[in-house]
Amino acid sequence: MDKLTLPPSLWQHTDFQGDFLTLLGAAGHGVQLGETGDSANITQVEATTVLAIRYADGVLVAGDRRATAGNTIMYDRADKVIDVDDHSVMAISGSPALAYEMARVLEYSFRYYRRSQLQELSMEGKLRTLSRLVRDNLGMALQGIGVVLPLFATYDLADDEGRLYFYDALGTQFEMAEFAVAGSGSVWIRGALYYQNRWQRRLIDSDLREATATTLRMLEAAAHYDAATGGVREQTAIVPTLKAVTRDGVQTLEEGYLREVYTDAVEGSDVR
Amino acid sequence: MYDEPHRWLQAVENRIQYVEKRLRGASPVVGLPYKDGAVLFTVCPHGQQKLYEVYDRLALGGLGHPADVERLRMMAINLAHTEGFARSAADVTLQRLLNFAIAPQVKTSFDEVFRSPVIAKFLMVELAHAGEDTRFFTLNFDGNFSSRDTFGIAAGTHQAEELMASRLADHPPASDALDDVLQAALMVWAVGHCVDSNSTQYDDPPMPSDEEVAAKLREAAAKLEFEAAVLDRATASRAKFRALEAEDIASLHTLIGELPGGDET
Repeated sequence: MDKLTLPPSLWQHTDFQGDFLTLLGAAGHGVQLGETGDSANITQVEATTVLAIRYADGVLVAGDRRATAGNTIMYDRADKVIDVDDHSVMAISGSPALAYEMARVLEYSFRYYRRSQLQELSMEGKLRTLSRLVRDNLGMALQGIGVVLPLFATYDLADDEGRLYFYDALGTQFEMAEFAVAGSGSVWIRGALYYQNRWQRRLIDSDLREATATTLRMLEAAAHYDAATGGVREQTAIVPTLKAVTRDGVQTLEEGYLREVYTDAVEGSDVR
Repeated sequence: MYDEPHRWLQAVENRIQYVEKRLRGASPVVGLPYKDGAVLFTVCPHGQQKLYEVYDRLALGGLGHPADVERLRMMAINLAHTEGFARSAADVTLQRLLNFAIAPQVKTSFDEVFRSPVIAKFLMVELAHAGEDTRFFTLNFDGNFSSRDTFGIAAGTHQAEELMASRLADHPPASDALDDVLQAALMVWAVGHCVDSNSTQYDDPPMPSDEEVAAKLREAAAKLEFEAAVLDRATASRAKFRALEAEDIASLHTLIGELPGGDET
């Protein structure tokens, strides 16, 4: 059994005001997000298309499962939509190594704040924390080593509505009223979502099933044009990750349900 | 002054007496297993809190000086989170936290006779995975700790703790349902509270009578607030801690209303 590493500062200096990053620094486990140096000549792994739409009950967040490095498919079962707390999820595009670390820091930050400060971190506080993490990663992003552009979806219990944000590489957060997309496949579906929301049916009026159908169609469209997007792959039994963020919390949609919607509303609505 | 061994021993003895005197009368904390996990129960003045979430499957109840309780609470939280982040949530166990970090630190504080000792005692609980026993640890002000898997009790004096354990052995919960376990915890708490607030008989206190317990409970229900929390295995969230709301513990007030002697007061 390893001995627990406990610097004396953790005993003497107990007041980190609920800030998990400061605690990590004091404990000697600093997160290496802000490192700078020469750009290494490596082919980095990247994760691709994620999208989120606001629908009647909250926000539906989806990600395909593929991770690529250059032209190579590295992994086909990546989970790009990660639970951060009971009412929030983060969807990642860009370097998975840094994005997973970011999601983990975020998850710990929220829980650490709640447990140490005896109250839930406010929604603005949560958004600022993610903003800070993205900005701290700027050095890596500028060198082309690892840019992370997350989508963040949360349910605002005070206002009783789902909220959706995306971030640029400088950590600026933008709230999206209808939908948000990120990753290499996102350029192909952004216009499609705009079209659907403006001239077909407002996304916010969709129920879960309609929102799921839209999302699966978009992922298939992205996979059609973008080689780095996995889409829905019937032959290999790999389905995308979809999570619904609602008043009741975060619900991961089951594979059986996704297959049923796919068969009915994606393949079944094919006009060809 | 403390260079001679017997003087140092005397200083330690004085310290024990000092801390025990300060802890006497503190509201006890009771921990019991129930159907879905573990319950922690105590009673405290309005607006105060004694039961805390530490980590995904860890909780604690502290009694003693609020500043000392806070210091140890933060230490446990800091350790659990850095360890869970650096390794994994599965590596954060009470046995490790207490053995390698918290207990040695409390012992060191206790041994530094020129500095103020830790005036606090803790009941800590770790929710087991299905099929395993939940463990309750008690940590004393001198750094000693012990664990049980059937119940956990922390009170101001060891006499109170013994009588509380004896009450629990004689009157175990009627079932493992939350209400029954809470009611048993309330009665065990009341025995400890009676013993520690009895200002005349310190050394060998008798088991309080049912009437005394009932009277103390009615007094507590009127002046103080019941606080209860669970580590609930049934919740889908990774964090299993949940503070119980007033409606969850409403049955305790009904129970007190039905205790003997209620009509006379």
